[in-house]
Amino acid sequence: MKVTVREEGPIRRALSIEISPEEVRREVNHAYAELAKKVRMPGFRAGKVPRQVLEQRFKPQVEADAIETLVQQSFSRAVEENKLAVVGDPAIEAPGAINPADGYRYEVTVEIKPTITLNRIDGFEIQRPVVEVTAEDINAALKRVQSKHAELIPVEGRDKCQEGDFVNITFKGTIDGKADDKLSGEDEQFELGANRLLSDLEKGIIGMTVGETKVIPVNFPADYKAKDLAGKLAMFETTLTSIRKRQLPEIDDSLARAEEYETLDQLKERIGADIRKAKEQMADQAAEQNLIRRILDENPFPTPDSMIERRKDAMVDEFSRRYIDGKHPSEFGIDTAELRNSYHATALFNVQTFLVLEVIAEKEQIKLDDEGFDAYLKEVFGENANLPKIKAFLHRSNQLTAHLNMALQQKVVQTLLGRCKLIPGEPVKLPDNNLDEAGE
Amino acid sequence: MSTAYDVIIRPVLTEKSLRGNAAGKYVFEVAPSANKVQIKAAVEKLFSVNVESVSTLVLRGKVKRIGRFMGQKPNRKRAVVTLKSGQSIQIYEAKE
Repeated sequence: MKVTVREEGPIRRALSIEISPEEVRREVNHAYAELAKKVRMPGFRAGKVPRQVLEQRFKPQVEADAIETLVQQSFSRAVEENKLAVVGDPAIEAPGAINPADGYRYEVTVEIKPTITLNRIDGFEIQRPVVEVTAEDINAALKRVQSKHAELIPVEGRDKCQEGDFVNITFKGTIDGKADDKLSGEDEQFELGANRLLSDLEKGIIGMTVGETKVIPVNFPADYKAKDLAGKLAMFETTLTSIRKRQLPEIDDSLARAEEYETLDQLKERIGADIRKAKEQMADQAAEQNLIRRILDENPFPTPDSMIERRKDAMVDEFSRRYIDGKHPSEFGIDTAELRNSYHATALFNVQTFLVLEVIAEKEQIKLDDEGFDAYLKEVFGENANLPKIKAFLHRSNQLTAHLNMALQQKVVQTLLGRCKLIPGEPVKLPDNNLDEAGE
Repeated sequence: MSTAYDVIIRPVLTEKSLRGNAAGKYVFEVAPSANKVQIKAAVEKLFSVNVESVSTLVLRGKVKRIGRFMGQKPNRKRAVVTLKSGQSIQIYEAKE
């Protein structure tokens, strides 16, 4: 086997691999011998089919198999012998025909890990957001607690419904005079103005009085989810059965008691502590990200496309698992290509982080011990997690290496962060819906 | 009109039939109506070889019964063709 390696830029190598005629012949003979053992043909006992007959009938298949084995074996040997840190899938250009007399040669292009020279990795001034819990934060959280305990009470003093009311309606929908079960409902509750109903129907209901029955014409929008209804005109015979409205409880000690705290001050204190904890975490994360960005700026290197693409695939999978039940995004009208593109910057950052931290870990002799990994798992899966069980699960689902990497990365970043000077940065803001659990 | 292709139906590919190949003997299934002269001419024409001799044999069709009806599978005729020594037919052999 002869291998010539050509450099094509810092992270690409083109290999041209030549396999000698003897090796090719040996592999082809081997392939036929294996086939002869298996193949059954009328007129011949098992294993007694002559080579000529086999060749006549199975030549393309046998050769394709032989080529595949040859390519696989020679490629992994070539990679090993030339000490290439290959990432991603190799682009193999292998001719399909094989001629044992001439040997076999093929070209393959691979991406390799970039060589990273570390200029400077610590001693930076890194911004860490200031953590402060403001009165607005607490008030917003209290409002959420309040709406969680909201009650629906019957409306008094008017029998006309208006926007913001919760109404119960019985409705029967017909299209072209035909009734449709899908379009009917009995005493179902809706919030007016919450966009849960088609706008035509909602507009029609507003202003009705309890007990009133009315036929409301509804145009289904042309892009309606259910294809058979889109663009159709339906008549809804609608009866308003009751009107209720949302009553928010007062923010006082009794609200606190509903959340199992003695006084409002205690509830506030607890909410404040939760917010602080969340913000501290976000600040830590932001500082780590700032540090990594700084390191990447100081030590630039090229990033293999295949790693970025693979990372994007993983992110799309993750998205599908987390938000749409593992289904394919296209089922929900999400353009996969667009989704992938939207991940590009993050994917690039993740891959670069991975590459640079790996090199730093090696250079700085930062290693992950069992205790460190356990601590990381506790952080991810909760304080009371059953660690042996989790490890076994991760091992089974091939996620263990990924998590080991993550834990090591974290350790490296924290070590480096310890050698930097932290300076206060812009305070962090909580995302709107992050604190639903606060006060519980 | 009968052509060489009507006479020679197919080569017989079995362990037993291939045993004679080295000695220049090839086995074909031929039309039951064909005689040795026709077979010789057809093989010479199709494979561009010289035929030394032709032996034929008839395989009697099996008698089959479906309910109370008796029937017979068709007879088949085979021919063992001996070529002039040194000649061969490429039909079973993939080109090297």
